[in-house]
Amino acid sequence: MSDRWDRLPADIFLEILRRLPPSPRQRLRLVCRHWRSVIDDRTPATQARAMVLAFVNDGRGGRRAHVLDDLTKHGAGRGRELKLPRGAGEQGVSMVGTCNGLLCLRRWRGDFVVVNPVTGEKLAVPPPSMSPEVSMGTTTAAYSLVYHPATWEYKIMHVSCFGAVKVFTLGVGHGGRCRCPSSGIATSRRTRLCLASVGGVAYWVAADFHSVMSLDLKDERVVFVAKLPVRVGLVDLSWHLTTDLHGRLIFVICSNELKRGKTLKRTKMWMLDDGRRNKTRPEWVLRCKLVESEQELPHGIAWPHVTHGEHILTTRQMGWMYRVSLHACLLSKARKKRGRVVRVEGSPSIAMYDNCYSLRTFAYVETTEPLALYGGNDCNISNSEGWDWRFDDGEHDLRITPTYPLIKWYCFDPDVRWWKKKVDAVTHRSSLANLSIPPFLPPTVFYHHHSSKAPTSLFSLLLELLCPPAVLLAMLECRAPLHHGAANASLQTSSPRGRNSSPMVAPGVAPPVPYGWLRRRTAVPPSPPRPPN
Amino acid sequence: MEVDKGKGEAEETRKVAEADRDTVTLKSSDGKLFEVSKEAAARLSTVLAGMIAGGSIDDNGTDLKQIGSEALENVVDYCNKHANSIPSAALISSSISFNTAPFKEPEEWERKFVDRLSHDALFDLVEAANFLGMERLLDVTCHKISEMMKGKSPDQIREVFNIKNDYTKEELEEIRQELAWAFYDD
Repeated sequence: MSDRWDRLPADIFLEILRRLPPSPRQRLRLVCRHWRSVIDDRTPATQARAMVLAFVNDGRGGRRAHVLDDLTKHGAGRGRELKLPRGAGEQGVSMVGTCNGLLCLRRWRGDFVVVNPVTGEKLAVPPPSMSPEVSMGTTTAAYSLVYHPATWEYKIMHVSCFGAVKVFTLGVGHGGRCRCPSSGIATSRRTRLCLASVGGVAYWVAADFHSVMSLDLKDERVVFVAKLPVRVGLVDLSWHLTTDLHGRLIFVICSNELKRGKTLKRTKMWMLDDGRRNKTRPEWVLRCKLVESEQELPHGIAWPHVTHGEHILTTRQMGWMYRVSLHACLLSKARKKRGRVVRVEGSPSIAMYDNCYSLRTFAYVETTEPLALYGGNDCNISNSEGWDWRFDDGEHDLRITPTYPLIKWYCFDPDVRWWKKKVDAVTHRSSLANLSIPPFLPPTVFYHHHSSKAPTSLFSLLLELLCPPAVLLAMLECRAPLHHGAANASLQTSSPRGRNSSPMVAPGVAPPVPYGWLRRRTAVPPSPPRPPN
Repeated sequence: MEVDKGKGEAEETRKVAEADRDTVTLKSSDGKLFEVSKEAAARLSTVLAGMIAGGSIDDNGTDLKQIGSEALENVVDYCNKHANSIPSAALISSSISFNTAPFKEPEEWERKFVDRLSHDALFDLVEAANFLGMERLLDVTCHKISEMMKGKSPDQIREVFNIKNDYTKEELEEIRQELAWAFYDD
């Protein structure tokens, strides 16, 4: 068989390799010499040289993606523009993330489109189902495109602010059903903070402002990773959790610092040393500090892709003209005791964008990996013009049926570094009276989950305010059976408010899957009757 | 479409071929004869289409010295199945440039068709498809092989394809070091 591969024409070998994502293709160099030479010599993306992708919202309804090949080349250009397919560069589109050269974009209705700009292919992915209030309050930051290296699958992950994780696998599985990770998962993401993901693991900051949690797709378990290096306070201007090209976790914090009677903006970047080599506990290392001159306009950091090799990406806005320039500052060679210093003053711009309402940076690599492999299970690949996503019964599918909320109390156990379950209670509206609710949990939580009418902003505000720091986290996990049937219907009618609060459940019509992923009209099979147990 | 596989019926098929000019007779490296419809052959294989147009088709069996009988049998089988399952218009429009054309998902029957093949037969088929310039068949077979690599470690791949590891330990470590910065990002 070995000689078979030697005999195989190189073009054919390339055809096979072309169908693989760039990073597993890199790993194939380990197989044998012949493979390595073919991969090294013939595949274009083998250099695996990541480039910077700037995603620009021009404020007039257009979205553009520019690739910056060379960070040492200064100028006021824009970089090479990537051609985004129809439907991906329109109003309301925001970038979820990039992964192995694929771009994942979220459209204004909440559905996704995964794009390969090299081949021009696009894949339409349905949105997750959730109540309209929740979905309106959900930002793109709650999502991440994750690549799972063990199974070579792409997944879109959603970590809500209310304590639930949803995972949608592209092209595999049954009809986009959510695979709810193990029962121990109950954790909320801090609002306005991005999900960071690398190598099949997603990271986020929990609602207690302080703990970094992770979900490894391998075992689908939510685990505590580390505490943030600094306490985040209200005076801090902004903070981001992200990853670098080496797959390490990066935490950036901008804050105002009082020095010699002047307020200075300071940016510090921490890197998580996962301690895998020395088998120690992961700990944060201060990587660098951004030093700005007092005279110049203040810089902001470019996010979520902040650090690119030895460069730190910063942005600067020019007055009111919506002109944003992107800068790449080199890390200084000198290593100081408390991290390296980056001088941003006088660093020339590498790109300049006019009419730029927002600029986000991502890592990008070119790939010819065909997206068609991930078609199916409600992911729709087509080049037809009218591929607009059609929802079942219009807006109704965007609601979840608040049938069966399960309330769990978790308390953090420092010994095992894991959230320990304290109480497990099924709350029907009727049985609420029997449940003792700690006074700090607002009644709106229940109100919200039962009638879906509480304003999200107020709700999230209350949740944020009332979340006690690090000690006790009240987390809601709305767990409902994935397949509805007779059992669920009876549950609803037994609840006195159930009938009124869920008007979209008409008799005889299967209700949508709560906390799952939406399905297309054509793809909905009749929901199997649930055997009574 | 009349299907006659070689294997002992060579004489008969040749007679049929002579009587009916709608088919092409192909001869494998070990002298076996196979028959395939002219229309399907011209549509699926650029090489055969060129031969038919150029009139270099031999009625007594066009010699394909590169292709063994087993592989040729699969090729003919594929052609016949294809002719039965897909309207030709869809195919003609899909003949775009090889390197940039978006890859088309194999259909259910094509999946089954390659799934039943052994490793050796699969590789023979890839080579035959390449020789005959059959893009669609090449797509399907390459997809199958890349699927076989999916989710496997280099060790498992060596095992599956029976490849000898010709690296020394030091070299492996060196490549691993290079890979340490392999591209990952969200």
